[in-house]
Amino acid sequence: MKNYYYPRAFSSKRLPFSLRLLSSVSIVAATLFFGGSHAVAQVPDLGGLSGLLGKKSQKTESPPQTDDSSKSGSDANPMLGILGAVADATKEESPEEELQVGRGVAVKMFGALKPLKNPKVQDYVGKVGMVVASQGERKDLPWRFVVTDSSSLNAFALPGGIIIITRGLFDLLETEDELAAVLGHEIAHVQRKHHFNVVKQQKLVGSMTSVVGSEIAKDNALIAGFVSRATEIMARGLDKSAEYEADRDGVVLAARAGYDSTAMFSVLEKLAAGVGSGKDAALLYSTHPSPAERISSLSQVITPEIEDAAGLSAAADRLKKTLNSKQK
Amino acid sequence: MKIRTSMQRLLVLFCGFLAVESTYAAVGAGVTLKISSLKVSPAPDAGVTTELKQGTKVTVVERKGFWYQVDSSGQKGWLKVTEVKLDSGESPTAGLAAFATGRGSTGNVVSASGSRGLSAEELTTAAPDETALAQVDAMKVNVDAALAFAKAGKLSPRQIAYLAAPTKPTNKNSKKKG
Repeated sequence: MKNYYYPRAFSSKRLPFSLRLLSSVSIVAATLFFGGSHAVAQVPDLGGLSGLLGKKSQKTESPPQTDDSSKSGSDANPMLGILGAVADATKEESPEEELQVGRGVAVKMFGALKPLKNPKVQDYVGKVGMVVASQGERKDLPWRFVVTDSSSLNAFALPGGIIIITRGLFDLLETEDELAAVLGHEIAHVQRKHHFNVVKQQKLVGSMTSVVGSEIAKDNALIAGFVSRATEIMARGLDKSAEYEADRDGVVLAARAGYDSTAMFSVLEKLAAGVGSGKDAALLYSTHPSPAERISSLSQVITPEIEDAAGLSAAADRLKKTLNSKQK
Repeated sequence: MKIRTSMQRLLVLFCGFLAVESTYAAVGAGVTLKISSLKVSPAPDAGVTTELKQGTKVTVVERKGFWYQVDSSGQKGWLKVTEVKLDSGESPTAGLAAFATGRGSTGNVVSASGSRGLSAEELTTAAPDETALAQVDAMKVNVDAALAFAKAGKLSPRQIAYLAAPTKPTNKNSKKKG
């Protein structure tokens, strides 16, 4: 029995194998053409493509990996094996895999970051998170939002929708709008599958020499490998372009929900001001572009729609009210 | 001491002048990205103080919405944020704190005594904790609760398109709208 099994929420219809293989091969061919293993920025819009398929496939999702016919007969012909690995690596309809990887990473990260024992805060953050996530294309993911008891300033977006924010970063925020902006950024990473795509690309490189054992053993080893790589990526960070994209998308998601479109600027300005001790912010700074660069990048693309969304929401002071309330 | 002589009055005035001027200490340095109109106030139809060439150094004093109040060699005015590129600053600059209001500007709000921060190594080598994940699952918020929460906060949802990635400016001498 799989450790992180999710009841299937989707029906079993899926695109025919030939169509999936063709799209997978062409996606990978384009990926390799444009930039190899560091092509996070140039990856031909896997996020968008998944959004396209995802809109349908959220309702009509493929069944779990084990009965995937792309793996059959792969041992006999190495070329088929490679094609199969290619199809594996770039398969769009693998939400279960994504969730398993994310939950695997979560279990590892919770070893270092413990959930804060404050139900009031957790519930509040969860609600703001769901409000923002509901504005995006993957609102049906099993989103989880958790504040962890660390003075460090960090936020993490795990594949499949687990969002972690440290108490140190949460303490920096003064309005619900700022919280929405931070969570919007993390939600955007998951929507675009930034981390998961990097994990899958690395898998492609590794699979050329992997030994094929039993299907179940292969699955578990595969997931374990993904989890290990994904955790490294959390610690190492993504391409700058992915961070800028998450900033842009995050602002939009929060603004769609009704929050202040300038709130992300406020948060970045606080980070630029160097609040928090140097060590607390060290990991954040090593995994992201500088706050000033992020502000500049975001500034370039402000549209009239986004300008119209400037101004604190009616819910802005709910953050302080919630923290100050007597309710436990 | 009593201020008797005019020299002393001048000194007092000068000190006062310095005190006022120090509030305009550099808070965020940047450059203009294109030919820009320095406006009298943060509004598209406000009067123009002066035109700034592309690449003009400016000091950002304040932000209001998507407008920066800047100082350009002593001339003050407002520019759209789209027109300014901040100096990237490898380490956080204290300057932007001046208009990061409230707790953010009063320094370290995080109890940092003995804080080690979080290192990449800790993150990747800590012993897994499955109980914590179960706790997190128990905390999940369903969509209905979120909707009710949004309503209670009087949040008004909007239709907004995603933003495209920035493109490099093509002709540095062309005047862009805005």
